[in-house]
Amino acid sequence: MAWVGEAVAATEAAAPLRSTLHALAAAAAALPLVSLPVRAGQIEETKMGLNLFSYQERDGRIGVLSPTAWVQAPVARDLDFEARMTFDSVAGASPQFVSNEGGAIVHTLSSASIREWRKEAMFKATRWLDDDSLSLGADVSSEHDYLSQTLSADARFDFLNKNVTWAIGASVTGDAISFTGFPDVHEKRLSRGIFTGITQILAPTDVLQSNLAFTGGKGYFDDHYEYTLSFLGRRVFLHRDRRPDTRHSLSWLTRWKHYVPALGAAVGLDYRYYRDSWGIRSHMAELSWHQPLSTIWSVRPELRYYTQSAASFYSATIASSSGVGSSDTRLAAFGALTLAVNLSARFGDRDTLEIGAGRYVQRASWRFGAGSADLPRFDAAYALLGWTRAF
Amino acid sequence: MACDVGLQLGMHRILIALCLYGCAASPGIAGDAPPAALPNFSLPLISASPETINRAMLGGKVAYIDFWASWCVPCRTSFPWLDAMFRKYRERGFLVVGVNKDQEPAEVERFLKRYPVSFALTTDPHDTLAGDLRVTAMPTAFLIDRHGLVRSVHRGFRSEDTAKLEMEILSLLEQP
Amino acid sequence: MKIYCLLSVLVMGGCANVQPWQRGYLAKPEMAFDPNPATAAQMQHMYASKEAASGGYGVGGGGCGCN
Repeated sequence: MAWVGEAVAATEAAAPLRSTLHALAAAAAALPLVSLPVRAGQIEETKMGLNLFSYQERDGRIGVLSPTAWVQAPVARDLDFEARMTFDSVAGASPQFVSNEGGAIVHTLSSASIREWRKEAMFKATRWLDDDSLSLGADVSSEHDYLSQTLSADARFDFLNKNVTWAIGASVTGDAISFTGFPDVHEKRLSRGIFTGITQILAPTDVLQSNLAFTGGKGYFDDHYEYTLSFLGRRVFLHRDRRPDTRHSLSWLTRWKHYVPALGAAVGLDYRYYRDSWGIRSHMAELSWHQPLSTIWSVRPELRYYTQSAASFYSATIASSSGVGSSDTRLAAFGALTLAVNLSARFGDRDTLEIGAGRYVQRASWRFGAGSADLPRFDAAYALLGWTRAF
Repeated sequence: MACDVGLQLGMHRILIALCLYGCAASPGIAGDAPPAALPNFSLPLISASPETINRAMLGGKVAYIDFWASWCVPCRTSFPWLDAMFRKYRERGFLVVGVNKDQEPAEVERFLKRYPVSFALTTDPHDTLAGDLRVTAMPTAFLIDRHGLVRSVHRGFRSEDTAKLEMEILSLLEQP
Repeated sequence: MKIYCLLSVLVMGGCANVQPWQRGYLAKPEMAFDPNPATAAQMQHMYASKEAASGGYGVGGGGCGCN
C-alpha cells in the first residue's frame, strides 16, 4: 500500500505528535478515503417477503386473491437488485351494461361469472456512482386479453450531506389489448411518462417528499365490454363504450413523515393532486399513524379520502350510438373513503409479520362538490398478510 | 382556477432551485476531509459513566474509532468482527473505541444485549468528536496510528472488506 | 397554485442540516414511505382499478387492463 509509505515518510520527517505544517499537509494529502459511502437509499441488507392480498367487492362483484413474492438485495458494492412477482386470481362479475329502461339508472353486471388471472413481474437494477444512482427497470403484466410492458429509467442525486435527494425518471409503456370472442381484433396503446421529485430531510424527525409526474398516452382506451342503453323520449340508443384516443395527465404527490419521540409514533400524511385531458380533476389525502405498542407489536390505523370530478364524456345516458361517451363509474364524479388498520410484529432484527384489513367505499354524495347523479354506491373490503425477512 | 401544465413544471423547477439554495445557505454543511491528527477529546464511557476516555489514553496505541448507532444496519456485522479484532490484537497495542450516536439509551442497551463487545464504548453527547472528525455517514471508522495521526477513514461496513481492514490494522501495529 | 407556494415556503423554512448521526429516527422502518414494496404496489393497483387518478409514486409501475 503506497499511501502507507508516503504517510509514514511524511511523519518521520518531523517530530511525532507535533508535526510541522508541511508534514501535516503531506499526511493529509496522502490520506486515503477508503470509502464505502453509505448512500441515502442504498439497499443495506438482503430482504425477501411474501404477501397475500385478498380483495372482495360487495354484491357479487369482483373478488381477487393475490400472492406476491419480492426480494431486494445488494448484489455488489455498487449494484442493487429488486424483483417482485404477483399472481392475481380474479373471480366474479363486473358492470357491463348501464341502462335507464325502467326510468332509473341500473348498472347490470355481466351475465357470466368470470374466472381470470393476472401475472406480473417487475425487475429493477440500480448502479451507484458515489452518492448518486441510476436505475433501470422492467415491468410486465399479463392477462388473457391484455398485455402491458413497461421500461423505465431513473436517476437519483444526493445533495447537501444527503439531506436532499433529487430524482428524475422516464418510462415507456406498451399495451396490447384483445377481445374475448373476437380473435382477430387486436388493439394497442403507447404511453410515455416523465417524473421528477425531491426528498428532503427537514429535521431529525421529519422527511418530506414531493413528486411530479406527467404521462401521455395514445391508442386504445375504450372498455370494449361495456355498453350503455339509453331510453330517451321515444328513442333508444345502444352505445358502446368509446373514449378519446389520447390521454395526458399530471400527478403531484407530496408525502410527509413525522416522528413523535415521546410516543415512538410515526405519522404519515400524503396529498395528491391529479388532472388529465379527459376533464378529470382529483384530490387524495391519506393519513396514517404507526404506533408501537411494545418492542414487538405495532398498530397502524389509516384513513384515506379521495374525490374526483367526472370525465367530460362521462354520462349515465348517452343520446347517440356512436362517438365518444362512457358510463364507466370509474370516470364518474364521486368521493371515496378508506378506513384500514394494520398490525405488525417484529421478531428479532430479521422478521416482520403484518396483518391488515380495510374497507373502501365510494359514494357520489361524498364528492367535494356535486357527485354524479344515480351513481350506485360501491363497497369493497380487503385484507392482507405479509412476512418480511432480512438477511 | 386554471392550472397550466407548463406553469406547474416551471414552478417545480423554481422550487428545486430555491430548496437547494436555501439549504446551501444554512450553516454547518461540513466538508468531507477529516483533520490529519486526532483532535483532543474526552468522552464518557457508557459502562462506567461519568468516567471518561481521552486522547492521552490512546498514546502509543493503534486505535480504531468507530461511530455507531443501534439503528445502523452494518453495525450488526461490524460489532462481532471488531470485538474479535480487539481480542486478537489488544496485547500488541490495538484499541477499539465505539462512539455511540443513539438518541435513546434503551435502544443502545437492546443492541448491546444482542451484540455484546469487550472494547470501550462511549457517547458523544455534544457531537464534539463527530463534528471535529467530520463524520459524514453511519457507520464511520477512523484508524489512528501510534502517533495520533488519522491514517484512513472507512465509511460503511461490508464483511467482504474485513480481510483488507485487518491487514491495515496489522501494518499500523508493526510500525513503531 | 396557492398550495404550491405554501409548500415552497414550508420546504424552505424547514430546511435544516441534519447530520448523518442524527438520522436514527428517520432510519426506523416505519419512517420509510413504503416499508413493504409489495403492499404499496397492491394498494396502488387496487385504487388504480377503481379510480381515475393514479401515479405520482415513481416511474415504472405496471399497466392495468382496467382502463
